[in-house]
Amino acid sequence: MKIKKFLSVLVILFFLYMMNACGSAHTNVGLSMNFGPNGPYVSPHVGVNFYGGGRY
Amino acid sequence: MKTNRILIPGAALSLFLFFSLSCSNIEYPALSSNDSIEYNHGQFVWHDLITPNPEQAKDFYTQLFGWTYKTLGEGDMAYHVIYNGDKAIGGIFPLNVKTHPTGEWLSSVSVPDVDKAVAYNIQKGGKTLFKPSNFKGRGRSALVQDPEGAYISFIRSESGDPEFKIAENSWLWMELWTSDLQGSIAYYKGLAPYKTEEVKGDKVPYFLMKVEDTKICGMMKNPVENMRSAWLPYIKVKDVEQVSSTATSLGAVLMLEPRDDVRDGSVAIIQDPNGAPFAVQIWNK
Repeated sequence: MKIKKFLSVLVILFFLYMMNACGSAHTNVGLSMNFGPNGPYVSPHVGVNFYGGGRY
Repeated sequence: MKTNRILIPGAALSLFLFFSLSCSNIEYPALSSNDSIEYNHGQFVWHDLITPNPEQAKDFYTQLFGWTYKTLGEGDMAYHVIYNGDKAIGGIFPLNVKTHPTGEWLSSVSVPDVDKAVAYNIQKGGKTLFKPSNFKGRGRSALVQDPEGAYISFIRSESGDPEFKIAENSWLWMELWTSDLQGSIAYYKGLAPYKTEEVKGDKVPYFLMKVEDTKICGMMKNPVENMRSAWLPYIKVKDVEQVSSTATSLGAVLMLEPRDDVRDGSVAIIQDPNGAPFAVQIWNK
């Protein structure tokens, strides 16, 4: 019985870990929400592999 | 999420603001103080920041670049001329914070005939946000969205165009991020006397737009998904790390932090505390 409980807790912890890992997953390009002086606004992320700009 | 609704101020408000400013009695500073009137068609000759919080924006850019301001007009219609040293380099005017919480830099390109440029833009699928109008002391100007949606002003200065000189804490470069690179190149070549030159060997295709041998601006495919096409102004700085650090301490967000693998760490892209994107770059050539 104790082993069953232990395994259940282990499985739940594993799923929590996976959910957290997935939540942190992101690409380096896209948009995120920020909070400025006038409320929330989106911020684009520029992907390093998609950018080659600036003056030449 | 589409950024059109949040990141970018609406066309209707821009129309109202430009219309209001054009009808005001404000006399804007001349673009050129030269004795002879000369034009450099295709050159970017002025930059305006539209922002929901002009006072905070003024403080932010002063702390970052040492800019000072001269306010023309009063209250909600006040226009703040930006000075880098004793040179007027741009302006700031307000947006309605309740309806448009974020700002944007709008840049003006010199054209020989504003009305013809607007007609060309319409013919190519662009939109007119504010029809050609005369601004006292400045000349004739219109605000449009190009066929890919980027905001740009057309201007015919009554005092001629200023000579473009690179200076610390002032404009260094202009860059179009577009959803259709080849389409935009063709469009702008039809608008101004640009020739193109591709930069070889970079990560992504990058095209320089030149008038004769002078580099005017660059164009690349938009590096951000779901963000509409836009022009990005670059400002020359001595220390990009220090500027980035100061900017974030003042509430800005880094869209691209300085990295050794991106232009040798000489570039950063920043969104000011009210959401207006711009870039800074070290340039010693």
